[in-house]
Amino acid sequence: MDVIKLTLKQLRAALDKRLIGAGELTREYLNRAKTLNPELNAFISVTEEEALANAETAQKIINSGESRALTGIPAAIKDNICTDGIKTTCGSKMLENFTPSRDAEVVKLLKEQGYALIGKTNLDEFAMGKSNETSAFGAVRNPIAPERVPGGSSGGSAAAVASSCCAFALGTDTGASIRQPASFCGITGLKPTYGRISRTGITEFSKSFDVVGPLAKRAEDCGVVVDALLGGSRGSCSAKIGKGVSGLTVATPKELFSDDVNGEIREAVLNAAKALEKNGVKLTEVSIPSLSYVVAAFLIISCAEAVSALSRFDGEEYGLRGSGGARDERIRDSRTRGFGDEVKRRLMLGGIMLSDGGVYFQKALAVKRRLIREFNGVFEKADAIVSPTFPRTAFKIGEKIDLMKNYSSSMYTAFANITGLPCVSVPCGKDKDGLPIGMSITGREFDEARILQIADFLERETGVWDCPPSAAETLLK
Amino acid sequence: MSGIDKHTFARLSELSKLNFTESEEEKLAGELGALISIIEKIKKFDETADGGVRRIIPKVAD
Repeated sequence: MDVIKLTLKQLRAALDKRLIGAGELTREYLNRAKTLNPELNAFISVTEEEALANAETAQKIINSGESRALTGIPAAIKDNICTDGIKTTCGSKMLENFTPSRDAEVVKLLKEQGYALIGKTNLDEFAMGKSNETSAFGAVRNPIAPERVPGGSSGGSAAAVASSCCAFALGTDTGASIRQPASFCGITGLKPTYGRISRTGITEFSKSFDVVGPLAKRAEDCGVVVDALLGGSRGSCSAKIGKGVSGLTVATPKELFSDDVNGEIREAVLNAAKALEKNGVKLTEVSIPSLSYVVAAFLIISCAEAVSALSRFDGEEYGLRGSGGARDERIRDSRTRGFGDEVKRRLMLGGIMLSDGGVYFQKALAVKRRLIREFNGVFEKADAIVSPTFPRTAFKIGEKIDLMKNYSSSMYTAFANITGLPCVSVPCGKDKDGLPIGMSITGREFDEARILQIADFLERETGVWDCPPSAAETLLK
Repeated sequence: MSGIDKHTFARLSELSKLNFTESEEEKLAGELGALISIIEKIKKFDETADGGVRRIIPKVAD
């Protein structure tokens, strides 16, 4: 049985029918993680002891007939999510030696389910970045094309899933950080509705936007994970998986199909939309004019909030201890040595946003209110919105990306963070170099079930996910 | 706010509790200037254009 090709539901069935033991399954993923990580750098820590101990506990639960959806399932956790007794670095030199004394709420929920923790995944420092190159622990390589980035900031989680080093991973998404890496690595990533999943124990970047969500090989798997994180009492995100899409209306905002989007990507996303149309979906082109202010509003709010969120890292209570006699001198030394260039850039920009008496921040909040109204208007006549996840495919590690273009690309993803809407990125094709292309499906607030239904339908219809990626298999040999 | 002069940069690094070398300062000041040009776009946004309510920000003394 090739376990790495199985969905979470299939793994559940295999474990419950004793076709495989939890220990055996965990070792299978663990061995892949240990072998591939020196090449991919997807994990900051591989937690072998923890994984095997978790598997032993899981097997006891399975033997007692009390298993739940994720009992015995090997998973990876982004390293900005606190894990009791296990280092949580946020990809930063600042927290290189930080070991939390508590689990994040999402980790508690996974532990209650009896999952097995394979490791903590690499990320852009403090989740700020789109390439995973800003990590103090080095860049992550994309398993599909190891000379390229996996995207960011949850690049380690995406690479770990795409190379089958775990059955699913948790990431966080503040502006793109689950969906863009999912798109670059050819997997599925879900940003749930803002506030739907607990953020307790997540290292904050921007409290108005941060959300936790799953990265997995299939939309169906994302639904299983989110349902587990909802604790069973707050609805189901998987309720519509496997149902047809006929009769639905899907909108395509013209602002997200502009000439800034690579032609192959635009074509692949429109082809996927046409596949929906062939199956009874009504397509409608719409305009969301305020999308042109998304990048500015996102930068203003997220950078201003980052100033506050990261102010606690001064080396006195948390983080790298600074040297120097006076307190102020020590703090400056701690932050100067502890933070990398991207974090410093955003802190300085946030400082500017906070120095103008709140005028820019208030404008950004007004954009947020308008965007919510415009999206609600679209959702009066459509069930979902489709768009390219990112205007280009994975770029090369070290490739010089124009700063303005890099930040401006947030328009394609950050609208979902500003409005708080759920959004899933699903593979919908490949470019001429064989690199994956992602399509975003955005839904109404708390309507994850609908977007996962459409994503699942497309995955079955287009079948673009080649499991496991050939490049990762070459590395394994 | 069209660029970052030395005085503003010094104030911001004091606020952020960060030290920069001269070359780092020069590079970052240029980058911040470029990013501000993206942000300045928001000035064109008219929050009352579709009947939305403009929020009055109380003037706070320095």
